[in-house]
Amino acid sequence: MVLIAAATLCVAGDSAPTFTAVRPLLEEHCLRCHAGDKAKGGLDLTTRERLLAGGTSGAAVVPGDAGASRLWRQTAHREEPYMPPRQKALPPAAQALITAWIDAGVPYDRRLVPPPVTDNGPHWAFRPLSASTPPKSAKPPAEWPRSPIDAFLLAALDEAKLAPTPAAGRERLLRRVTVTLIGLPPTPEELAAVRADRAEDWYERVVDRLLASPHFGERWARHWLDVARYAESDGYESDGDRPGAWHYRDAVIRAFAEDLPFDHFVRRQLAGDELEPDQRDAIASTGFLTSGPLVTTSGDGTPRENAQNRANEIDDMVSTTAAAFLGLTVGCARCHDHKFDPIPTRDYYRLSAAFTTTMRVGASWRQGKEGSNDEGPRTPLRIADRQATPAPTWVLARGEAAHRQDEVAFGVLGALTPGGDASAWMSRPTAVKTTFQRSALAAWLCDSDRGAGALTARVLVNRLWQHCFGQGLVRTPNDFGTQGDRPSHPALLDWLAGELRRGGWRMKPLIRLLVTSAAFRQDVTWDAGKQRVDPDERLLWRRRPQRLDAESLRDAILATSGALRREQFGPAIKPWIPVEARSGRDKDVLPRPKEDSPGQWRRSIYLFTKRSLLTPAIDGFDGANPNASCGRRQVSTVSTQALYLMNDPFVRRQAGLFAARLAAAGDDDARLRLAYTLALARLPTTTESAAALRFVRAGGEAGWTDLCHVLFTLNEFAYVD
Amino acid sequence: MSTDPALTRRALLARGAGGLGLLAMNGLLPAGEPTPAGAWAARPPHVAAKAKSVIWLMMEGGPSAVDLFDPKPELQRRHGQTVAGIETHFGKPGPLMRSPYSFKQHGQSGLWVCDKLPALARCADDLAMIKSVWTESSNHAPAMYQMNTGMPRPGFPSVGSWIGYGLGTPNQDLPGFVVMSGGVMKGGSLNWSAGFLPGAYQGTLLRSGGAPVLDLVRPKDLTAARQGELLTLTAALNAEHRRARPGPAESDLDARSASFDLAARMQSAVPGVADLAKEDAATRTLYGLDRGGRAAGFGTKCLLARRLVERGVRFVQLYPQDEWDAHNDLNGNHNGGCGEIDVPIAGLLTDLKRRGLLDSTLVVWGGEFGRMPVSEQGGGRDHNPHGFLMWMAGAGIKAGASHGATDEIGWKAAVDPVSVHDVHATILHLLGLDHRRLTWEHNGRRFRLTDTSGTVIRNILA
Repeated sequence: MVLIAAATLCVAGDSAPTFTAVRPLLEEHCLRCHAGDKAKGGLDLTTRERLLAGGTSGAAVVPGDAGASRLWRQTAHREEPYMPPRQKALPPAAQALITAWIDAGVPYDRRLVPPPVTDNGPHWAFRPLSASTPPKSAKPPAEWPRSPIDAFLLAALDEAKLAPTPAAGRERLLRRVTVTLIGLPPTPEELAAVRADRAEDWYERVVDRLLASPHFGERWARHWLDVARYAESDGYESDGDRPGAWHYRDAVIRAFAEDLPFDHFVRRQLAGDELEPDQRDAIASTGFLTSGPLVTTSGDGTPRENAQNRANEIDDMVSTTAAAFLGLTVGCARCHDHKFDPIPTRDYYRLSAAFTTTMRVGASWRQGKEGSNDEGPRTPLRIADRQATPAPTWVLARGEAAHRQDEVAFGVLGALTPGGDASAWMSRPTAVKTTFQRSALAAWLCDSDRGAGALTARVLVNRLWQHCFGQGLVRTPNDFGTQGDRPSHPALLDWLAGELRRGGWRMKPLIRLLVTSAAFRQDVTWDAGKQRVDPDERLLWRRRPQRLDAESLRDAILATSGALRREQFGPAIKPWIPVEARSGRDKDVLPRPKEDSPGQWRRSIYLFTKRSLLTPAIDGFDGANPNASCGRRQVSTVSTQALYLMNDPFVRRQAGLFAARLAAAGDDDARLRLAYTLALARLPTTTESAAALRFVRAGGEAGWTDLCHVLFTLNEFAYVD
Repeated sequence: MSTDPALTRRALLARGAGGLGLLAMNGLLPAGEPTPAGAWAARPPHVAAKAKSVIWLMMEGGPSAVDLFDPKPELQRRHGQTVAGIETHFGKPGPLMRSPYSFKQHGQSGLWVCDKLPALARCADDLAMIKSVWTESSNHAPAMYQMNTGMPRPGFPSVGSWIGYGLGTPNQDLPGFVVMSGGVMKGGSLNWSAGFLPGAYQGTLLRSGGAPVLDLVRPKDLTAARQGELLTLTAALNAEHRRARPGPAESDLDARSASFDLAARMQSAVPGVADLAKEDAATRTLYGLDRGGRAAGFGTKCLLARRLVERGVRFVQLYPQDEWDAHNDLNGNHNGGCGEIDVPIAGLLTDLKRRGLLDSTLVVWGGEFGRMPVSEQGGGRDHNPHGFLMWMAGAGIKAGASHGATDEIGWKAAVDPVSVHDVHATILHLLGLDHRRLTWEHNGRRFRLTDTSGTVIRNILA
C-alpha cells in the first residue's frame, strides 16, 4: 500500500501570482548561495536575466512551465539535488507560490538582494556563551510564564503571533511527566492521589517525587548509554561476551540517580581511573571508552591489519568522545581536514594522542576460550594506561596505520582553544602510572573560560531538552558543527547552558526547570493555522505526542501487567530470543535461556545487548544502534512491530497476567476501569466501555486476556500525549 | 500452510471499523510527508532500471577462485615453491599449492569451470566473471561487513537496506529485503542491519522450516476469527483516538494503524510463499531438493528466492549451510561447498530463465574474500583479500563476459582491480540507482553505500 500522498499543489486562493509574494522566499532560501559572481553552480537569481541565463548545469526555469523547471522540481524535492541542500522540501504553500510565479513567466520587479552576512565571527557553537536574560512579554497568556524558559519561548511565539496551548489535564500530565522522568507509566495509586490533590503545587510535588525515584536513574542512564554506544559484547566475528561491562551501566545509573554534577561525570567517563583510583564507580565509568566494538580475530591476523584495528579502536574513542561531549563529528577529520568544520586532521591526531597509551582491562569471553585477562563478571571492563609516559602518535594518511606522517603530541581542538596547547589542563601528580592526558582532556572539556566548556554545556542541555520535549533546540544532538542544525532559540540554549554552570553542572535542577515549565505542560491540541506558520512546531506552540521508545514500550507492558521486577543493578539478563530471529552459530558464552521466564521481566536497561544478536523487542522498535554514538533514535513504523504486538508469546503472556491482575477489581465495570487506568492512565469513555465489554463477553474465558492484548496494541498505549 | 481467512484483505475490509481505518489509509488521509509505514512504498529509480530484483548468493567463508573458476597454470607449474612477501592471516605462509581440481572450458564463452561444478558449468554462458575483486580486511567479520555494507566496521546500512530506501518494493504483503541465513553467519545480524537508516529497512530473516518469519504465527490460544475481532477493536479504538487528534502532524498514528493491516496481510501471504508443496517434482529435482543433505537445504533457499522475486521482493540474500573457510583441507571443504551449491544454483538460473525472470533479476555470487595461492597447514588455503572472484548473471549483465585478472599465481588483483564499492555501484546501477545520489544524512555527513568512491563495471554490462 502506498501511503505517500503527493503534496497537494493547490495554488493559494485567487491572489494573483506576484513577485512580491515569492521574493522573501527566494531571498531567505536561495540567495545565500545563488547570488553574485560566485554563485553556486553558476546560477545567480538576483535578476531575471541572470536567472534565465541558467547555471553550469543548464536552464533553471522554463518560464510558463513550473513543472518542467528545475528550480521548482528541486525545491519541491521532485528532482535531485534537492534544494536548499540538507533541508526539507519547502512547505506546500511556498511551493505553490513558486509554481504560480514560474507559470506567470518569472516576473521580477526589482533586483534581489542576498541576506546580510552577519556571521563573520566563529561558528555560533564555538563562541562563548552569550549573557542572555529572559525577555519580558507585554501580554503573557494565562499561566505563562511559569519559568524563565517560558519567557524565552514566549518571545519567539509573540514574534510569530502565535499563542501557546493551555495546559493538559492532570491525568495526561501525570502520564507524560512520569514517562519522561522515569520511563514507566504512573500507578493507579499515583493517579488517584493526583486526582484528589487540591494543593496548588500538586504538579511540582509529583516532579520532585519522580526526580527522587530510583527509576529516574534507569531512565536517564539509558539515554546516555545510546550516546556511549553501549553493548555487552565485542561485535565482529567472535562477538565475545563482556561479562564485566554492566558495571559501567550501573555507574551511569547511579550517576544520574545521585545527580553527579556533569563535569564530574565527564572526568569519570574519560579518566576515572586516574582521578579517583579508589572509587568503584569512577573506575567503572571509564567503560565509556571500552564500550565500542572491537575486532577479536580468530587468527593471528596480519601485522598490517592488527595495527589498523588498533587505529580503529582509538578512532572509536576519539569519535565517541567528540560526539558525546562536544557534539562534533571530529571523526571526519581522520582521513582529511574536516570539510565543513574548522577541524584539521592534525587536531584529530593530537586529540587521539590522549588514547594511544590506553589498554582494556577486564574480561571478554569468546566461544571456546576466555580472554587472556580472566577477571570474570565481578570486575568492570574498563580502561587503563599501559605506561606513564605519552606514546608516540602519528598523523596517518587516509587514516591508514601503515602510512605514518608527522609525529604529534597530545593537544586539544584549535577551533575551541586557539593553538590547541593542552598544557594548561595538564596536572599530573608525581608517582602515578598513567599519563594524565585523559584527565587533561576532561578538564578542558568542562573549562568554560579557556576550554570547551561552553560547547560541552550547550550540547548537554540540548540533550536534556530533547529527552523532555521530543526534539532538541538543536535537532542534530551529535552535530553542533556548521552542517548541523541551528538552534531554534539560541538565547535560550545559551541561558540554559549558563544555568547548568551556575548550578554547579547539576542536571536534576535543570530537568526540573524543563518539566515544570508551562511549555512542557501544554496540551496536544493541533491547530491548522498555527501549523501553517510553524509547520515543524519548532516554536513549541503545543505538545506533540511522543512515541514510547523500545525500552519504555517493553517496560510499560511489564508494568501494566504487574509482572515488572523492579530490582536494580547487577549482571545483565540475557533474554530468550525466538529461533526465527536467530541465525548461524551460537556465540553466547554466558548462557541464554531457551524460553521466556519471569527472571527476564526486569527493566529493559538490564537486558544483555549482544551486537550480533540484538533483542527483537528492542531492535525492532528502533533501539539504538550500539556501534557508534547515537544522539537521537529513529522513529520508524513497520509491520514487523505490529506482528510482534499481535503474535509474540511474550506479549500474549503479559496480556494474560494483566487480565489476572484485573480479576481482583470486582465486576466487569471495575475491571475495565482498572484496565484503562493501568494501560492508559485514564478511565474509559462510555462508548469505549460498551465496545470493550461487548468484546470481552464475546471472547468467553479468554475475553479479558484478549482485551488486555488489544490495550497493548493501541496507538494510545504507544504514544504519550 | 494455508492462508488465514480471517486476515485476508477482503475480510478486513468487510469488518466495519477495521475498514474505516483502511479507507483512511487508501487516500483519504490529508496530504503531507511520506509516512514511515510508506518506507517501503515503491518509488521510481533515478534512471531506467535493468533489474527489478537481486538474488545475492553470499558464499560466506571465502571460496577459492583458482580452484573453481580461474585456473592458473603458473600455480600448477610452481607448486611447492615459496614466494617472498606474502603475509597471511594465520601463521606462516606455506609454499604455492596447485589446485586439486581439473578444469575445462564450457559453452560459447569458453568459461573455465572446475570439475566439481558440473551443473553450473552448463550455465557458463549466463555468467559474467569479475576476476579482480579486492577488499580491505583479511578477517571474516570486517570483510563480511564490507561486502554487505561497504564498510569494514559494524553499524552501516546493508545493500538490501539501501536498495529498499532507494526503490521500496512493489509487494507490500511481503518484506522487501529477505535474508536466508546459513549455519555460520560471522558478524551476525549486523550483516543485514539497516544501520543508521530507519529500522524499517533492515532485512527480515526467512526460514524454510517451522514458522518462516519471527512472530508470524498467532498465539496458540487465539483462533483466526478471534484475532480478526481483536484487530477490529484495535482499529476502532485507534480511529477514535485519531479523531481526537486531527491534522497531518499526527499522520504517524495512521501509519501505525496501517502497519497492523500490513502485518495481517504479511501473516497470510508469507506462509504461502514459503510453502513449497505446490512446486512440481521436476522443479524440486531441478533445484536438487531430492538430493538430501546440504544440496537440498541450499536448493530450498534458491527455490524460495525464486518464489520471492517472482512476487516482487526486491532483495534476497542467501547463505550456504557451511562456510568456504578451507584452512587445512581445501579439497574436503570445497568438495562439500561445491556439492552444496552446484545443482541448486544451476537450477535457480535455469528456472529463472525459463520463467522469463532472469531478464529482471540480477544474480550475484561471491564471498567476503578469496583464498591464498599458498598452502596453509599442508592442504589448506588462508584468507586472501587481495584478489578474488565474483560473478553476476541475469538482468543487464553481458552473459559470458569477463573482467579483470589476478596475477599469474592468483594472489593479487593485477588487471582492472575492482573494489567492493565498484561491485555495489554496479548493482545499484543495474537497479536504476546512481550510487552517488543515493545518500542519507547522518551525524553531520551524507553517507553513501559506496562511501567516497565506486565505479560501475561497464565491461560486464549488456
